Amino acid sequence: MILRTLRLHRFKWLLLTGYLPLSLLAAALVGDPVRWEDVHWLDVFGEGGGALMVLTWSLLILGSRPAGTVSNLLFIGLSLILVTLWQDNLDEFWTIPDAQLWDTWLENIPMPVGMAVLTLGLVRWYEEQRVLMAQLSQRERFMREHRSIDPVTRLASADYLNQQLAIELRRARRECSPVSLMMLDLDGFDLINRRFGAHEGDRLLQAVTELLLLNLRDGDLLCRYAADRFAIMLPQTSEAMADLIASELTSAIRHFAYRSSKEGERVTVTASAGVALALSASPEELMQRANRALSEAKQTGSGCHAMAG
Amino acid sequence: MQWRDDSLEATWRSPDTPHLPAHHHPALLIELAHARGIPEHRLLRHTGLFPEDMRRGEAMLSDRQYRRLIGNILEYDTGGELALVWGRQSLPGHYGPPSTQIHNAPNLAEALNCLHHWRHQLSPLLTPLWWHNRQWCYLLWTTAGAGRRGPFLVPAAMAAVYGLARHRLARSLDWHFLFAAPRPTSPQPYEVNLGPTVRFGAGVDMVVLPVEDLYEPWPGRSQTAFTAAAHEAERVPALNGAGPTLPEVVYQSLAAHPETPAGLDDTAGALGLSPSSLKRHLRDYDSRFQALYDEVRLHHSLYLHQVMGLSMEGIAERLSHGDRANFRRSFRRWTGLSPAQYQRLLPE
Repeated sequence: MILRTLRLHRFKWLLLTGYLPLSLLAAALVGDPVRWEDVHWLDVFGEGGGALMVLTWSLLILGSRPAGTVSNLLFIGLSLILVTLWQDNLDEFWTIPDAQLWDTWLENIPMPVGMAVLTLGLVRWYEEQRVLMAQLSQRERFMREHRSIDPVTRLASADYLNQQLAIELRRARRECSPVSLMMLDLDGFDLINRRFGAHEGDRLLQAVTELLLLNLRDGDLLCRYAADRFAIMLPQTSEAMADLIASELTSAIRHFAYRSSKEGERVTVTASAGVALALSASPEELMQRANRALSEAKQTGSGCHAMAG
Repeated sequence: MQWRDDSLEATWRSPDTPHLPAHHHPALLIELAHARGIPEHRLLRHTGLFPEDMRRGEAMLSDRQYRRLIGNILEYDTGGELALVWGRQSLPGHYGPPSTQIHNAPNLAEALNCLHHWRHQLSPLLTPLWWHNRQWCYLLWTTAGAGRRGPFLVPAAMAAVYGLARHRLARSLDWHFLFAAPRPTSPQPYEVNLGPTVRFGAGVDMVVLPVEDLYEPWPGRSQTAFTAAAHEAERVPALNGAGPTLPEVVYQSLAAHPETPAGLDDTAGALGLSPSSLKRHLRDYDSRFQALYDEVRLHHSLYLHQVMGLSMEGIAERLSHGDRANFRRSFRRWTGLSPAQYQRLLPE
């Protein structure tokens, strides 16, 4: 993964890895070597170590980012800082005559310029992150836990739901406005897996995830509970509203024209939903009640929804 | 009763005998694991298996390779979900005559008989066993032969039977799933894949189902296909001659006399081995003699209680010569529960 992303930044890397040996060569040609006993090792450790750190940062940042303005700015900023630290470090080993103005420049100019460019890059990164967060808000709300993300649907898992429910239930108690939890389950998902294979089943789950996200409000949270069951937290939502959302979601899925990836065959999908509402309850209790409501809905027939009594 | 076999088989398959077609249920597991983000080369590491051979349908796995494959998957924490998803889809499967036979079985009881008959292909490291009284059927697996792979393979085996029954009966089932393991941090996959009645810390791994589900006729079956598949299977060399594993042989020899089971020395003698080489061979299967011995006694005490209707006192009488305190201690060592606690976990 990191290698694939780094390949996007091939030319930047060539530039950097080309510069380092060249500057080494220039110092060796122009300067007089410092005697081994006179080298200040503490300085070498500080400046050389700093250069190494900055190199690691640029590796990590570029390895995790697509190409684009923000990546370029971050790269340029870090590279300029690296140039200064590297040049400082070379000076510990070679004494370069004062007549060589380029050395003084390289030791002084790139650092402040680099810092300015890096700051600009960080500001842009912040703006970019805000746009991304708005896009992801129904998936992750205000917290990010990359360890609890489901690999198939890229939704948060039940553990994350548990945490968020605890927060939301505390608020519900304080503000006396209930939290609703909906469990939504595809009918006959097992049969789809058997007929079309697990790969198609996973693809369907991804499609349903997108469909559900489109139909949810800001502030709602969609999680993958387990297998084909989705959990949707609806903060500050009354019973009537939750009922309406449940019927909207199940009918959105009923009218969804999903086509299989190989033959393009139309697969009819229906979903059942169970909703539970609470002002004060533990997250586990609420999940249990929503699950019970879901099994009641399933008893009624496919494509139905039920409210917990 | 499916689990007592008086004829002691003195031959067993070595852990290195290639006998399991890799393109059968192992391939389904590999596909599912791959779809969940485990790279294929990681999955197949040190298994000696190549994807091309598997796709050509030529690769045969030995028990050691199979265990290694499961071990590779266990390195990735999937919270037990993968085992359940794999299980739910693995039966009847597309594994030649055994699958045809299971799909066309007249009912679940017959399908379980097929599953037991083809256990060396369908669940190579676990032996299914079950018994029933008038109300409930108790389905469990001998796990002492699966070693550290048990916690992955047992839930998968449970999900496989449940998935099969749901698929063939096409209705929801109210089965009880008991797990010996403590409650995991995320029990949700168990709930969704196995239904709401899942209990952890229950001493044994066991499925308890209404006896009616065992004999309810399956729709859309073919009696001819069912019978023909059995004959067809006899002519497929790959399906015959694998033989049991050594832990299974030992289990069966002990289960032949569960109330006075032989010790290590006598069992080794009956198999023509020295006690130390029996221990070594069992270790090669990630198994231990004591674990097998305890499992036989536990299963027999469950059988006496659930089928023969014996009270715990009666069972102590049969298994520990009336020494009740001794029996209670043993039961606690096997299950971590007292007999009374265990009884409360079973459905009324």
